Amino acid sequence: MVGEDEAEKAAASDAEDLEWLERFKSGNRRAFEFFVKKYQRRLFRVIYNMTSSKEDTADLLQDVFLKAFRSLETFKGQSKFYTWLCRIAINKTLDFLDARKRKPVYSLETWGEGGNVADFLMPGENIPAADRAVLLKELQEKLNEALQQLSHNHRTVVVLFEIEGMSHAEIAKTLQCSEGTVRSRLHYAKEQLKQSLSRYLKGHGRTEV
Amino acid sequence: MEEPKFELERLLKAKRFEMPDEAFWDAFDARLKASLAEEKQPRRVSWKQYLGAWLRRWSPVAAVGLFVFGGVCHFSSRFNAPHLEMCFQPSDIRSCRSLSFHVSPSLGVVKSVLKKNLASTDGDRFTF
Repeated sequence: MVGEDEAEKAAASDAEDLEWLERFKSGNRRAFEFFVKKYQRRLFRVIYNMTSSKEDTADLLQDVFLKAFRSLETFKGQSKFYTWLCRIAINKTLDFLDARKRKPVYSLETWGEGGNVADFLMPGENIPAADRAVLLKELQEKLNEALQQLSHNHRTVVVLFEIEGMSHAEIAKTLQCSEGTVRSRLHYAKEQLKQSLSRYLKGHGRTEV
Repeated sequence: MEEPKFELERLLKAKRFEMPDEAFWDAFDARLKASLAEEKQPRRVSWKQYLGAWLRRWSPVAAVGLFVFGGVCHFSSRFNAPHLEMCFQPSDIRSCRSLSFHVSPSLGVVKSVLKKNLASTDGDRFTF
């Protein structure tokens, strides 16, 4: 039932996108703002988790929306609107990462003051607030470092699957590769992440006392 | 204290919580609106900008073309010197003069040919 609900929501969302797309194509340029509002946070997550820099993400996100605005007339609706938009974002980000010579500077976003994320990560754990905040900050840094150690292609797949929650098929469409390639990249990337983060993972590394 | 341990997937999902505050989005929206407004306006280009862009685009091609053209004229005048000499008979000088200046940038060759021909004419002098 939950799956059906989600599928219905997704279908309604796609239909809504097409409706606004028609408005845009019929000359209502302000209709584009609907897409900006709807997708800016999702795209931010994708780009930010690939670059680990808030400033670079802001610039890239601007470029993505401008590019989408210029080429929206040519969007034929052969794929979902978000898939198309996400492909623009991924291509822009990969170009940027290839050109970026300097070492990435991590500009970490707060994890909602540690409140929500702590409940998400450590439900029912009886840890003092101060220790919890320190642990969360450390985790966040190590996680970003581990992600940045992955190759661009592997990082892209991890971000889209694990963080964005896209399916293998959607990722394959977005990256224009086979589902097998997506699965194998994901497997390899997760093995690498497990090695980098073994200290914090269940069933890996030693327990520190 | 024993550190808590996590599932990798759960750790990665926690990254969904990383999101900038509303001030960031306000600034972002304002900047994007300004850029989109610029996109919506048809761009007005002055004739100076247009000419500048045209020159930037075509000047290398024009330079190469001129160079090739000059080279062709130069070598054709060298190898076809007898033909040119025939063309510049004293009686034809008046009609050929302007043409020769236009056609061949290698004036040295043309001048020498003309002078040679003119030396045999009576009192009809041209200055260069």
